[in-house]
Amino acid sequence: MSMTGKLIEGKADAVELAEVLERRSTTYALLSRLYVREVDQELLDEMHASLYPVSTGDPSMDEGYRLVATYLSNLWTGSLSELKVDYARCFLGNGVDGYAAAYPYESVYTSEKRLMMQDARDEVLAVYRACGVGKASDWREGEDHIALELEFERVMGRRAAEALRSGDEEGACGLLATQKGFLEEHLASWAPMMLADMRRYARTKLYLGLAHLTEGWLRTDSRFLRDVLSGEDGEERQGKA
Amino acid sequence: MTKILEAASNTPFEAFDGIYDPLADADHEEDFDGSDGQPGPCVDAMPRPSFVGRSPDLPADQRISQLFASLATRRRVLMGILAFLDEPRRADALQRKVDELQEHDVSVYSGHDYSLLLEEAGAVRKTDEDGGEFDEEAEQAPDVVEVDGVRFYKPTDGRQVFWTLTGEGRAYLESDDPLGRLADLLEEEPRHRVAFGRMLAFCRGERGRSVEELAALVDGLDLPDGVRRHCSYFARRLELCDALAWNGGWRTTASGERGLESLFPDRAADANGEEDGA
Repeated sequence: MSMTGKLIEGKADAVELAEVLERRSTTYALLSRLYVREVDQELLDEMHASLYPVSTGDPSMDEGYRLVATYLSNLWTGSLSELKVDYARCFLGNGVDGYAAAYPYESVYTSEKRLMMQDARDEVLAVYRACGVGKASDWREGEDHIALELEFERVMGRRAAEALRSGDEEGACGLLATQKGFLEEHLASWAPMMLADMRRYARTKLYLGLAHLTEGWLRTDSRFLRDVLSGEDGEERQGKA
Repeated sequence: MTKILEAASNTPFEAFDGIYDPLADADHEEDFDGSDGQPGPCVDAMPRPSFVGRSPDLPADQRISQLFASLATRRRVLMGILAFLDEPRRADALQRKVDELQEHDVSVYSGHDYSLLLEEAGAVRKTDEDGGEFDEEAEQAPDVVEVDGVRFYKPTDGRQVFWTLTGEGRAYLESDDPLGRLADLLEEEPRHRVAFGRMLAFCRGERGRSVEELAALVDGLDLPDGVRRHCSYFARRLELCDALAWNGGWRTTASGERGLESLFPDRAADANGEEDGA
């Protein structure tokens, strides 16, 4: 489908939009990293040295950043151990009934019997392959793990930024449309349920904050993609696939 | 950030040539009868509490004894921690002390783990720098800074956490009687008295003794019941009495020296240990 309007008005806009997309990708990268494994000292130090916006316009994101910043303001010798325990409590659990943790897999929340490696995994795998990405050789989990789905959004955003900087507006549009579709059909369809569970299991403000932050971010980013892809006539741009 | 998705570009994704079907070889019709399966996601499901090994209703002195009994192999470290916390110590200083105590005795337990176990048992408590009550509920709020007209949270440095002994912890520390335990050992195993005494004398001095050297010592002994025992049998028992310690080699501790003087007066006269195990 051809575009019905221009995504950007000029080169300056392209650079500005590319910068916005790169910042979005950085947020996706941080979220993905926090879900992929426990926090280590290097990440903790990096997070402690960072700044967190007080007001983003989304109440969940604001609460998330506040909780994370508060946790980081009360670090002590036992913090890393606390975070490792809380990661296990949130995502691994200690039971076998399927309800002992907020299992971070789309299949668990979209299959009737809360099993892993179900249809959702096959679907996201097909999307990854269609977009020319594959999991790293040392990744042993399912492809519908939230860390991978967030990482996919990061990769698409980065590619869109690169397309814009190289003047390929139509290509960027297509990539953003792919991001939007994946967000709406996958991430945003199941993550809120997982995040609600995560808020029940998490004990540290860092993981509580992460749950709020992720929920708000997905909502905010969905709005952003809708806005940026809407033409002057209100129709959504698709760009080239 | 670690990359967990890589751009395969024009290269087909290699690991999955076909559609993955985990049930391809399973007779799933029989195994997955809907009537036997789990119900779908239930928002009312609550997590099961994890098992807590000790009864919190017991008084602290009993919980402390239980802890030491269940972690008997870490007794030396636990007692070292109690001795170290005779005054308020920073949590990071405790971590370094535990690293020092475990330098030659690697354990999965860190200083943080021990502090939590001892706190749960009632042997230690968190304090402020002056030994006063540590307010668990109080927490520091992040600073708020402005950058280009936009407000940001800036994490501050955390509160200092100190650990110190409780009354029960101090009582347990003071009740420790390694000399008494050594005397009890000799009373329980009189036939091995000579072996214990020889080993303590042999391990005196700055140079630690290797396992091979202890084995040669014990092999040269004429044990009364005729049963051959490995040197570790005797070393372990002396270690539990805090008379012997491993720090890259087996060495007689200060407590072991006192034991030698009072319980093995004939052996105590050997000033530098037995060089050749004779």
